[in-house]
Amino acid sequence: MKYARVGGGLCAASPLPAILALCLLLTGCSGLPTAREMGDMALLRTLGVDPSPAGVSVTGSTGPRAKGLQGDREPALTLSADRESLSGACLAMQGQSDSFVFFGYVDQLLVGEELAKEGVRPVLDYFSRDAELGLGAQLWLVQGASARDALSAGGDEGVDARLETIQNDSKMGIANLTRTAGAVYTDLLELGSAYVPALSPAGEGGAVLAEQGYGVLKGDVLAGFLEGEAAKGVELLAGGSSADVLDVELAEGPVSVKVTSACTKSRLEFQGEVPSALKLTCKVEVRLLEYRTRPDGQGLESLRTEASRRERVRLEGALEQLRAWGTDCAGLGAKAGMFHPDRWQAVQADWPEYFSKVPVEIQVEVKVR
Amino acid sequence: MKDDKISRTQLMALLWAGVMAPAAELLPGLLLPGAGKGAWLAVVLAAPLVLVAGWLLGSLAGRDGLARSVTGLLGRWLGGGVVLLYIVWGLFLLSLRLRLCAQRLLASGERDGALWFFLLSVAVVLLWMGRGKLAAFARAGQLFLTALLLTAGVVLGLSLFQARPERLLPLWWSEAGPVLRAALSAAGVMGWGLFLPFLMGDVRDQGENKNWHWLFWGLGGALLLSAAQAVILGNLGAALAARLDNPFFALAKSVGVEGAFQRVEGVVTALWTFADLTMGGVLVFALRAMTAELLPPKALPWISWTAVVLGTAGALVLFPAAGTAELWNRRLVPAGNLALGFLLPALLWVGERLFRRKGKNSISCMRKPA
Amino acid sequence: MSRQEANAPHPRKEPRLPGPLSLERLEEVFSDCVDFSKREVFLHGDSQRKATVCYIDGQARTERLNDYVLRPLAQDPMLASVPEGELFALLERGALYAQAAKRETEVDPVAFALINGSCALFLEGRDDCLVFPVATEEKRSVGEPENEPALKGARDSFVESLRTNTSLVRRRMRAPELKIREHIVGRQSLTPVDVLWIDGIADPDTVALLSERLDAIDIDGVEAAGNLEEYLVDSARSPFPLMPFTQRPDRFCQGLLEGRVGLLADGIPLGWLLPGAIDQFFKTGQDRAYHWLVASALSAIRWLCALITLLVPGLYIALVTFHPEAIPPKLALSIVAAKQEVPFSTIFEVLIMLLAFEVIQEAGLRLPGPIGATVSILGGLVVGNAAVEAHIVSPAVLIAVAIAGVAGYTMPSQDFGNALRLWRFLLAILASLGGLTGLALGCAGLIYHLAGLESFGVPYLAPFTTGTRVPRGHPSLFRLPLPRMKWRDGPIQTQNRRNQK
Repeated sequence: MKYARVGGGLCAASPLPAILALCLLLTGCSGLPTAREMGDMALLRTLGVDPSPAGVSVTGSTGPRAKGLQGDREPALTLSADRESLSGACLAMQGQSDSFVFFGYVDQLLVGEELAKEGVRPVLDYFSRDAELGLGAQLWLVQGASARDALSAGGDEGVDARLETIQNDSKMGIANLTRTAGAVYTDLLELGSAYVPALSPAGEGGAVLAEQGYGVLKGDVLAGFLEGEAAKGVELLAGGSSADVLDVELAEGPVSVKVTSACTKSRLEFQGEVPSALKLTCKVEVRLLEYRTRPDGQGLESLRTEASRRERVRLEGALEQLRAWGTDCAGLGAKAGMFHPDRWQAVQADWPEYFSKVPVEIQVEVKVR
Repeated sequence: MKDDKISRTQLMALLWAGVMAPAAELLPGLLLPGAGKGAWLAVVLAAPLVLVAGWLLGSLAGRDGLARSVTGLLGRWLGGGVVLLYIVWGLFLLSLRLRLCAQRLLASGERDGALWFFLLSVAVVLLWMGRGKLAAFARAGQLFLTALLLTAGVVLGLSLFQARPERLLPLWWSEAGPVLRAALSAAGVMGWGLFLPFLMGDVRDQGENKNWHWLFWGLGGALLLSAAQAVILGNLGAALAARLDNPFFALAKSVGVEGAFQRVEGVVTALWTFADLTMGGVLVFALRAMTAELLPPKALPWISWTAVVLGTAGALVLFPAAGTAELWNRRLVPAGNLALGFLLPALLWVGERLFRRKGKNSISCMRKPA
Repeated sequence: MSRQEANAPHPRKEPRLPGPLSLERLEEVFSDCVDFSKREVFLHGDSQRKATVCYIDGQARTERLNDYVLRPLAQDPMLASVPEGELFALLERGALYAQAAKRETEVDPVAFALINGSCALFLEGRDDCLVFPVATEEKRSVGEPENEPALKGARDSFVESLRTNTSLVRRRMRAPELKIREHIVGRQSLTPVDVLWIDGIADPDTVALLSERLDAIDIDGVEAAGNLEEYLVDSARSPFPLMPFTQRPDRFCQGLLEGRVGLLADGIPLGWLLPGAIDQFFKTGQDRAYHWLVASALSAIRWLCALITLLVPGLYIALVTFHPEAIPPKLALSIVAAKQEVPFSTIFEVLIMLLAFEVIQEAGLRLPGPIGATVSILGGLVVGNAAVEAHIVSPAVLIAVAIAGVAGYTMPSQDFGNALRLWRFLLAILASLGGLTGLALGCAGLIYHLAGLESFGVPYLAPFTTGTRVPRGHPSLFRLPLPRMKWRDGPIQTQNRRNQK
């Protein structure tokens, strides 16, 4: 051909070397990555970690499994191993099942209360470094039981369906706030403390996992749990709606309102270089749910007052606990410090102490829709 | 076309597609120990340095490419020595790039498989591209840049919603020192593109609005890079990002659309091979341009083969211990890029100015007739 | 034959049929041709004046020969009365009723003219002859284009006769600047090939390049489209088509108006438009008939389908065998469940299903009309269903391969779709060897391969990558409203860039 050869044509002087190379590749003595068949995989969805005499005890559970085209149901597979380290335990779990245990789908991580008291950082580090696990998994603290018990609570169905439901509900605003392991780790490193949703086995024989407020980690150990009203207070501080219905007795009759969203803004006041006061403004939006007659004017005003009083009580309760522990897990100081960059730089390292001591002024604004 | 020239847009596209490879590996990890929260600002502050270096190299390179300008300026032997220095550095960067790419592919989830398989496959594709025409490679580079920008845009766009401003701010003057030092490191990372002026000899001169074009692409790319760092830091926070090996790919692991796709880190890592191929290709073509100045034309068809074979051999041999490649990538390479990309061109540029002035003076001396 | 003999130069014999021109020489040339006929007539009954008319039966039209050549020879009184010296001139200039009359003195042109349907008139005692065209015009009538159906446009299509095709083009493009230049290609077939362009719009360099390449073609005959395509393109190594063609005259004229150069060949009912960049293979004739939003959406779907057909099988293999975490969990669970009973590995399954898809398609092409459609559908359905029920393949693989196959059928250009099929197979093999890495390197290789292709000087990827200051005509992924498409396509280097006010 007299036209110049344009573009990528390989030097095809003779195809023999290429064929030889291909044959070499197809034999076993090549560095090709091994293919793994999916038909032989057990997909772990939930992982639970506890301390054990040997070191650490890891429990994993797949969800309900299906077999064959018709999807005949098989019970969930639960594996557990006790070893010195997390990677050792995970490797041991491989040997316990007749399928290849795949960790890439682990979406829920349960940490037992005992392990939380010892320190969660090794677990979070392992999740951040491993090729299959990731920091996108949802983190839960198990209160009053070990993670192994919580996982076994699922029985044949496994617990990940329940946990996934709680996760979806929280996005819709009808359950507790859920957090990923990455968000918790970031908060631990940036703020020194973090809040983690807590569960505990409830019902007969611990068959169901129920939400139990939040656990607060300081450093990387457990500082304590916040339940009930204090838990709602933390939700208000962190900014998120949750399953919360307020029943208020008005002159016209009982009225039920749902908190749809909450947002807390914080401001710091400085005296010289030292913070003198922390001002919190919490804007809450509520929606009328049940009422005998639609309140208006005076009724709305009294509704607003009563709602803001209730929310203030919650906020104060949560803040009291948090200040007792010295954990600013909602990042109030950091948010306020953005407006005073020079002074915040100096104060930042000692903020947990200031947080415990600085007087807090709370202002709640309720908007009724 | 009738000529084998590329356009300025294609040159800039090759630059940014190539720089995305070291940028994803090093930024913000390299900057965090020093600058902490201010790592994203360090990239913004590195932009003027990068633009100045680019301007120096560009004005030195002129229309003929940097190699010819250097040999023209310094003479055959001294200029040849300088070009040889760049050649050695280019070969080293090529080995490093191949090694790091293979290591990244090995670690991304292909749990088994040998390093040399990934290394050889990338090297084979690089050889195929390096033997062809620059115009074809530049067109491919534009498409690679589009794919990389789309991927990075999706990953960073989806994680934008979880970014918190309080992890980025506040920054105050007390951090200026560390941030400026980190800006030097960031400029060193962006200095991987210092070999592009060697290709200036193949750029079609459009004529109009040249400076605005360079400014747009240079500044735009640096700003996009710093925006990416801001999103990464806003998501992970400075401390966690410092602990992770590779914050960008870790972010890709946790991003996703519920029910559509999740955990697509493997796909992002595989797509980032495009960036490594572009950087490797730029290095190979720059080596071709440089050796074309030094060697007789008969040897030219063998340059790409030699370069890729030497690069592969270097990648296999030069980094025996685990972690050597990463260490050199973090310490040695940014410093070397700054030296060869900013200091040396600055010296050459100053020298060129003096030479020109002396030349003018000597002519004016000669013009003083009796 | 030794290699030297095989590669020896292959000169043409000039002249092809040597010797002086005479009736006997012509009879010798056409010896053993039963359709060569000659008729000796007396001019107006004068037995001293004889003329012989030769023609080839089947090429010449009997009525025209009889009415317009033989009848005036027999009945025109002037032919008997005029002096001998002026007889020839009279015959040449109007005594016979034909639209052309040419005097020939060499054997070659007379022989070619006879084959093309002319008749040759020899007068006694002269060594030259007159050639009159009386060709028959039997050809297929202009019908509907089979491969490019039109819902909202013209329904005529090119036929095998070159002159009819050029007349179809002339009817749409009435500008006098439409130039048609003819080349003869093929030593044995002597096929006329026409190059069409609009003077003042098309790039004269492209026309010159095309003419040069046509003249350089030295083959025996043009019997298939490939005879022209493979010789005219820059690089025959690539399966990607570099010369877009169409069966519809309206699309052909659209291309001429955009500044492209057209190519028509006798015997092939297609028109080629050069140069062809990659977006030409994604345009259908209906794009400009529909509303621009609809056309843009359909165009975007076509591009998306090209990506789907290339990547889905390879991506399936890479994800399922090397990176299962990227698959949505519920889908992964169903794949795990289905694959537990399938004996084959995923890689083998996908490659076999791709092959089976191609086999079914090929078999469907061979079967005659009504049976073909039924057997294809039944075969696909029954075989697919039975294979899934027997756990030979898993349903996810079947769906993935079917999606890829159906997406491949949305390609307006069959040639482009075939190239995509080849590359789809290659990418699947690379994915099975190296997972996502292999797939990514394969894609990089494909992009580089496309980036290196050029069609008559215009880069194949020009719509996406020119990157220079050439004002692009209009975007390629979607279509702007026609009043906004003011500029012709940049990369084609047309002379006149503006196409409307």
